[in-house]
Amino acid sequence: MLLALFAIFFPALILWRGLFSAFELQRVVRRSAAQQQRRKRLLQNGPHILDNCVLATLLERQKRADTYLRRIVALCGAEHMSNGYVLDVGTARFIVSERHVTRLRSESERATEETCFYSLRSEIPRTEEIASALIQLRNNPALFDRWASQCGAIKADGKPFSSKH
Amino acid sequence: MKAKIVVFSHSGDTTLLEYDPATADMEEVNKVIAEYEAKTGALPFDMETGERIGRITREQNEVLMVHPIAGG
Repeated sequence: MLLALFAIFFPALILWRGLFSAFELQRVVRRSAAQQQRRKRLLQNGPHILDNCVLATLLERQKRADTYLRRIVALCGAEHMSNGYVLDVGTARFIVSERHVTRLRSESERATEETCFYSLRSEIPRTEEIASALIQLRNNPALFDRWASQCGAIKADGKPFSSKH
Repeated sequence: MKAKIVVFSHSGDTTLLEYDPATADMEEVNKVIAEYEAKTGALPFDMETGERIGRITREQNEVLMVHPIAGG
């Protein structure tokens, strides 16, 4: 009797263990496949996600810079024309564009003078360089001559600045 | 209301200092500005008038520190 029970129970136990292991193995294989799929998707989309983050940061930076330029153009009474930002200070007219300024002494005078400029903070957006030039020229138009003489960095009050201080 | 001192930076702009003009120690604010000016050559401009300012008072709500420009 005991032998008969053992003869039935033991093969059934072996069969159940075998089936259980097979199901477990199938589950592990499926989980691993899903993880691989997720990893693959992440690798495919990862650079796009990063690109989008960098792009959003750059757009935000440009938006803020443009806002400051607009505010300073309005404060200085300048005007945006096709060739740059036109600023009248006394009898002089300045046309400020990207790293370049033109000065017309008076409306009747046709002769123009030109010079290039750059901010000591080279990492700022170009629109903010224009804004910096506009606000400084509006307060001190003689800065144009200092820039044109290429005698180094000049503070807004016309005094030279050396970062070696 | 808060007043702030800003500067153009690689991220568009950076706030150097934010303070309550009603209660802030303006001597301390001007000291910070003087130290920044000595280090960078930047000078303060009032963002409401566009004028360069010698000393920051409680009347200014936004001050922009403008860095030196070189010709080339």
